[in-house]
Amino acid sequence: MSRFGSTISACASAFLLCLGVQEPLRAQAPPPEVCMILVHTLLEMPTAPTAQDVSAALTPSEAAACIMKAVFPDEPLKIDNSVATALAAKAQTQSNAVQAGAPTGAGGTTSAISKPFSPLSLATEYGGITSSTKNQTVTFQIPLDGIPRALAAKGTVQYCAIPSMYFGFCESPRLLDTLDRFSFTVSMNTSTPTNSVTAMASGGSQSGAQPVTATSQGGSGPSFSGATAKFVIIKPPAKLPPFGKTPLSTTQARALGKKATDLNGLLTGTWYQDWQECFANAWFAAAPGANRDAVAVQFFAQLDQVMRSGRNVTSCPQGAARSAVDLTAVLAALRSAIIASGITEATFALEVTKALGDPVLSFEYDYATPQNQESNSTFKLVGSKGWFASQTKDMQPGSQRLTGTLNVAASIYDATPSSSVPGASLLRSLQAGAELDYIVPTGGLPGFLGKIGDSTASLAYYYQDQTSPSILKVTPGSPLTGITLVDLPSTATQIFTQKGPIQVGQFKYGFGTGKNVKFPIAVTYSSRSELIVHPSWGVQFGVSYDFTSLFSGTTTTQK
Amino acid sequence: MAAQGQPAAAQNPCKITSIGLGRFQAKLADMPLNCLLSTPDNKTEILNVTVFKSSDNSEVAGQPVTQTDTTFSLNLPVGAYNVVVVVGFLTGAKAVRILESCAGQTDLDFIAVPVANNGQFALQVVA
Repeated sequence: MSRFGSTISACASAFLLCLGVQEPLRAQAPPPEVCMILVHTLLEMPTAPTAQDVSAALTPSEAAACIMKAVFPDEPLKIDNSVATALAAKAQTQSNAVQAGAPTGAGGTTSAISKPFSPLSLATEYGGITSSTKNQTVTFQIPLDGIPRALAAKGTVQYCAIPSMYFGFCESPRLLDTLDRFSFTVSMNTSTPTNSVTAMASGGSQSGAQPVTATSQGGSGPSFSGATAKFVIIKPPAKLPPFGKTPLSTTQARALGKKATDLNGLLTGTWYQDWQECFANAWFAAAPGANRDAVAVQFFAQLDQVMRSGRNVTSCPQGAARSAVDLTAVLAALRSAIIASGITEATFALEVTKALGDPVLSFEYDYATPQNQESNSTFKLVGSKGWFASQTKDMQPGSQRLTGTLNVAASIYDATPSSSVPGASLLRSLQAGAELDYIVPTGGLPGFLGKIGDSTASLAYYYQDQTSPSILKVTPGSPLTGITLVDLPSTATQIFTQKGPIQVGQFKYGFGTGKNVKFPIAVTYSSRSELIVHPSWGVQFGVSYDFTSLFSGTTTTQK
Repeated sequence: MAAQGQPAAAQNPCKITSIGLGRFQAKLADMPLNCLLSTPDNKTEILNVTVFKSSDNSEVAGQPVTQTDTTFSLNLPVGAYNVVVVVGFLTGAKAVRILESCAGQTDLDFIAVPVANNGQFALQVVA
């Protein structure tokens, strides 16, 4: 403080004069929000701010957004950091902690275990883990941040670290990270017809051939199989990347340094510098609290005139002779500095995102409508952890080669089963499962395998205790798809089987890890299925496409 | 990572003196000058430090002579310079200071994180 003692006391003694003006100012509108935030940051330091701090905060390159909004409020300015955002979008969705297709309970799924995160993707799968009949399903997954992030990656919407610094609406990392916690999935059954054809004999029989009139009943599209809502409860906290591990933002920061000093050079020795020093001394001299805010409001109200009038409007006694501001050059330099600053921020945010680990814990709700069965709801906790950070051709630095996932769930019928079914209860089953995924660096191999990229080998174990028998709905006289009923009384409307535990072991190999298109193939052993009490082997396979990269215009997706 | 993470350097006498708001001076004989980022919440790090000649705004090659995510050192000949520091920060980060790493921790610059990600101070090196 002593360093500035003489200057401050001079200004403080003429404090009112410091705040005075030589000519009437335009009607005093509230300063732009970013300007007041700028001075309020001074109060966040553990030690009291000095006049030096205030002056530093008003350095043109630091106060660029404030100056732009105060002096050139109508200047259109769009910070296009879509390239960085596109890369950030890529980093979001790729790892072995993401769900590739339908959840465990859905008919046709290839997944024995649910994963904590759902990317923007479409998958078609054939199989089924616990179901007794194999089906084909199409599953569409969408995280809530999927569309907004895609728009930012396209440059349609601005992406910003600090919304108040920006011009017009922008999506902040905080907004995207919040939306990122929610995702939804819809699965459709595409292998089972939703309509039935009734053929009625018409005319007489001709040598064993009978003409019929056929009519169709029911829908013509795929049937609804189930839906899932997922919420990420715990995400790993963001960490600063280690020194030297931010090459992209360091390059941008270097460019920003040049733009910043160009802008600062344009305003050095001008009336802006006079205003800056007078503001700093007056703010420091004022009593903390509302008085300092009043000083800030007063000075920011003068800023437009300071920049345009080419003379002193603050009447600070210590003001030396200054030159006028070259508004055209300053406007161009402001734009360059603000754009460079925004791109640096976004690029750094990207590198922070890349360094983030996978979601740790999610809650999943599955609503399933199995063919000919009562609908049911499953409430599931999904935990995930990665180990052995490493890098391959298709994996980025920090990607974890081994991922472990745990599931614990309870499933209930959506309506209490009929009391005529012995042992039936609202609680349908209890479930638990675990999976280990290991990324095999096949992307570095020559030939076809190298082109497909890395692959993932997975081992999963799944346990389901059916506390209530599986109940099938039957309509007398109508067949069940895929199930032949023998000697069923014509009055039966429900049939049920023996309840008991189901144990499933699965080996899965997924091609295309780190790429947009993935091909999981799985072999599964099951001690029984929901209806059949005998062991069985099954094969599941599918294809999934990650839309994130499609929206971002890139060709591969990685983490 | 914070300023308090430099106990050894903090015992050194300060070499940089203030000659006005945002303007500092150091003697050639006192080179190198050690500076550090004071980030109370550990949510900010230095991305880049560039030194420009005040006379023509040209970049001074080879500066800073060392740099980490919270420190940098300058070894400059006689002349007038502008030192620009650009930082990266996490969501929720608060304002930071650039200090000389010395017993008195001379306050060189204040960066108004999160509404600013760069700061500049003028440094004059005299014989």
